[in-house]
Formats: sequence, C-alpha cells, structure tokens
Amino acid sequence: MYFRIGEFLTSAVIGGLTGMAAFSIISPGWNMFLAMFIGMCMGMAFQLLVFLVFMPLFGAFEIMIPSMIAGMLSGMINGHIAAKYELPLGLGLAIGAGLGIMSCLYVYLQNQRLHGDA
Amino acid sequence: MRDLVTIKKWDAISKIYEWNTFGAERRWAKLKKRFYSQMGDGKILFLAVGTGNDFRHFPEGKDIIGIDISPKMLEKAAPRAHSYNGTIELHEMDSRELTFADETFNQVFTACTFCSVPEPVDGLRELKRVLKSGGELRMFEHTASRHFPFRQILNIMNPLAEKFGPSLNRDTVSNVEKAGFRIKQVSNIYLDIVKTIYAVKP
Repeated sequence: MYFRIGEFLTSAVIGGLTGMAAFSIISPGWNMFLAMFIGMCMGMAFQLLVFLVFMPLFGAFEIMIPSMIAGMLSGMINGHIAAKYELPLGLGLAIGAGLGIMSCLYVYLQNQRLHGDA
Repeated sequence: MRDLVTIKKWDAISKIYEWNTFGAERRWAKLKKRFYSQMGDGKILFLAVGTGNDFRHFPEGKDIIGIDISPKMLEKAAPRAHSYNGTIELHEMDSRELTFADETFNQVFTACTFCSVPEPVDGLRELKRVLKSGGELRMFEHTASRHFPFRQILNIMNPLAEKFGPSLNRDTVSNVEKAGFRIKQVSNIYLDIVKTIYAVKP
C-alpha cells in the first residue's frame, strides 16, 4: 500500500504542478500547438525534478513511467486549455492532479496485463 | 585494458547508491528473495555486486564469487560479504574480461547489471565461457519495453540516465540469445521492463 500511495502521489504532484505552471505561463491567444508543446516540455522538466525527490522513497521505474505520462499529458491538456481560456491556477492544479491519477491508473492496469511469463 | 570511464562513473555513484536504490530495494525485496532461492549447489558467479545490497537475499551456505568493476562499490560490499553465512569472495573485475578459467561455474546470477555493461553481448559471451555446459544464467534486469508509450518514455529518459547511471533501453533478452545462450523463460515483473531471464549454456 505504501508503494501504491507513492506512485499515485508522485504522479498527482507532477500533474498538478505542471497544470499550474501551464495556466500561469500560457495565456489565451497562444497558438494551440505551441502551447501544448511548451506544456509538454514543462511536464517533462517537472517530472525530472520531482522524480529525483520521490525515487529513493518509492522505487525507480514504478515512479518514473506513470509520472512521465502524467507530466506530458497534464502539460499538453492544460496548455491547450490555457491557450483558449483564462482560468484560475487552482483549476490547473486540480485538472493536472486528476490526469496524474488517471495516468497512474492506466499504467497500473497495463502492468496487470503484462505481468507474468512473456 | 581497464575501462576507466566506467570505473569512475560507478565509483562516483557508489556514494549515493544506497539512497537512490532505497525504495526499489524494499519494493523488490520479496521478488529478489524468490529469485535468489534458485541458487543451487556448486560454484556460483554473481555480478555486479554493487554495495552488496542483495547479499541479504541469498540462501545460506552457498559458494559464491562476486565481481564488480568499481573498487568503491566493493569497499562497501566487503563487510556485507563478511557477514554472509556462507562464502562470498569478492573480486574487482570487468565482466567483459573475466579472469576465470573456462567452464568454472554452475550458475551465474546478475541483478540490474547488463543495463550498465558498455558492450553487453561481449560481457554475456564471457559469462557463457566461464559457465559449465548446461549451466544456468539467471538474470533480474530492466530492459527496453516493446509497448507504447513505455518504449518512447525510456528512449526519452535514456540519454540523461546513461550519463549518470544505467541505460534504460537495452534489449537484454536478444543480447542473451546473441551471446549464444538458450532462453528457457522470461517473466515480466513490472510492465515488460523489469524482468527475470532464465537461460542455459547449450
């Protein structure tokens, strides 16, 4: 349970931070594709920083894979939203954290599918 | 010839190795115990020992020779080897240039090793040389993934990871086959990234 909480927490933190960053940097009027790309890059950067903090506590690949998906997905989706609407940072945090949890759930289910003899 | 670049890299990593692997070691403890329970009688080669974290999972009373390329790692592993209830003899050695005679060992165990050996197929060929015919190669390794988006994520992370530690996108199962082993079983532990590989020398 400790490790499962760690996986979801890391992805939620990275997704949330990326969402907030995207909402604070990207504003309505930006080119949508550029906004998504910048958001994705921010997600990757946050992932690297936060991953280094959480990795020693919760493990390597089990943290790295879902949190990278969380960062990239949150960056792209929140970047897209921020390029269209002016919204509060808290919403970016909530959307990002939600995407982080969804990313983690996706990887968890994929792991159930792939686990065992190859 | 000594691979000074690799030695220097792993000597430096030895300072933070315990901290970096703290979570992973606890997460994998039960699986590793089960993995090492397959240690049989006869001479066993274990590489690379690192700081000796895995010794606690070894069954008692085995006759093991452990090698590592990094003297600093071996310094940390030495007290753990000493307290093992059995024999663990440590040597500073490059897995690509083993100094053991042909067909010395009954089994070879590796744990997260062939993500770090610079020419993995050469290293695996050396393992084959020192294994007796019919001898077992048992590996606990992380490898590349064949699935989207995991494969792409590992490829993105790899340049940075390689600079400060292991490669993330090695096709170790294929490398084992290229080295001339016969694969008996591959089991995924986490996605298709962390896995155990069981192969024999024909």
